[in-house]
Amino acid sequence: MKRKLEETLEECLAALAGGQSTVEECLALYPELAAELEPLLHTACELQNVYAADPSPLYAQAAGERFLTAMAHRRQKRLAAQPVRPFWRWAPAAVGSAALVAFAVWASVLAWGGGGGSQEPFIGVAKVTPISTPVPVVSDFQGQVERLQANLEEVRAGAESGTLEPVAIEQLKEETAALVASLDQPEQLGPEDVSQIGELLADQEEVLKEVKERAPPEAAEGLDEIIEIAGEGRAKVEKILSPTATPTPSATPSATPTATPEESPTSTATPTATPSATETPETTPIETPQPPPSPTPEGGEEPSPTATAAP
Amino acid sequence: MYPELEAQGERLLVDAARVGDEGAIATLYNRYFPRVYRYMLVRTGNVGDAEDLAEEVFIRVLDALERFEWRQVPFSAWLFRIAHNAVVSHQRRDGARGRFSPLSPSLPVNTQGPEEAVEARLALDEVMEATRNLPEAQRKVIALRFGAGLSVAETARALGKSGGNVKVIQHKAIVKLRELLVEKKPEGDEEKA
Repeated sequence: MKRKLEETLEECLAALAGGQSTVEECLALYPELAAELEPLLHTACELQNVYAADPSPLYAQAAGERFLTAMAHRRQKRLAAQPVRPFWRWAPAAVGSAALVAFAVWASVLAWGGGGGSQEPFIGVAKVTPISTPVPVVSDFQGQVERLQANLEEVRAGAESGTLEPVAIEQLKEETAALVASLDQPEQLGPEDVSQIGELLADQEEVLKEVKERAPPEAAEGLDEIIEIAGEGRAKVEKILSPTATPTPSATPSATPTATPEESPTSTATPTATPSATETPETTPIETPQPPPSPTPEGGEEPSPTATAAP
Repeated sequence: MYPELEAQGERLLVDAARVGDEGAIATLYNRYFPRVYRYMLVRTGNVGDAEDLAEEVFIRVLDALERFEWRQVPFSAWLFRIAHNAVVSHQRRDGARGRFSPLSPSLPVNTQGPEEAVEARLALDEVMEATRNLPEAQRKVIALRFGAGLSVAETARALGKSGGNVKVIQHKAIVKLRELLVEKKPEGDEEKA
């Protein structure tokens, strides 16, 4: 019974609020509950009327303005908090895009040439094609050199402080062997790189000989092996660099034939270094992918100022 | 029954507001501010507190809107939960529960003539005082149903109760209010209440 009264009261309240019926009409619908319902419905109507109070217009306007100000303040704060995209965020994408474009152009050039088309076009584009291959070799070479220097320094410091560990020697041995092995493919290295390897291996030999004097006896064998590998490497370097000495006399005037044989080793470096087919790739990939730092994120995400819909 | 929200379109409006559409936020403000104000009036019985708290609620909404998720909870229920929390914080902060100050004379009541306005203001005073004497749960239901104009279902969601429970509390609250109001009225006016 009571449950029914609560349900009926709610139905009547809904009907009253929607303006669908009056108190009397509700009571007529539920005559068996009319005696209980009537006072409750009158009270409910009074509550509805009383609580229909609106905020004063002056206050409502001021509150609305304060709300808009708060909203604008938060917008400013949000925009200020958006970080400017750092270089490393957009650079990989830019490099990737540039590489993709270069590959597409290169492929189209190949297709054009292979398809029996005209041989004249894409002259400017043809420069792009050699970029892709040598880059990893150069970057890997520099990495190898840096790692070797770091390992050598670790071994030297370990020997000085008496904390030289076999692991460090083994690591230096591996790095040295890898660098020497790279000399087996001299066509992937520039002459300057080969010279640098030669100097590095010579320094290493000197340092390791000093280290050997301070290092414990059990480390001597490992150090000797590294020195040996370095020696092999230096021999390879000399071998690589020596054949280039032969063409140089031809460049010198024939009037001084007697002087050239002694000078030839030193003068070889200049002519071989100038063509430097491998040098160009070092610079080109860095220059190509530099798009202007686009301001689109800030501009694109800025919310539209819709202050006209102000409360 | 009470001014129901247009369910259709509200979701789009709220979704737009969540991603920072200031027009949508302003529309929601216009739609809900008077109701939040009335809710605060019923809960606090004080115009100044109601004004402060209504504003505070919308500042909180601004900060929390982007985290709002549709989890079978309508926006109104979410909003009035924030309003409820604001009242609770206010009561803790000020020890304001039970504090009562006369309604502002500038409080507009929807009447026409000055005599009616005075009568309405007195009636509001009476009802507010009676409401203050209700138990907390009943006062919350009355504030949401008659102040904020929420439906039983919305009230239930805002309070985390079942619809049947809300109807029971509503019934008890109206019975109690009637008793309190009749006690205050002169004998001849009892029938009107």
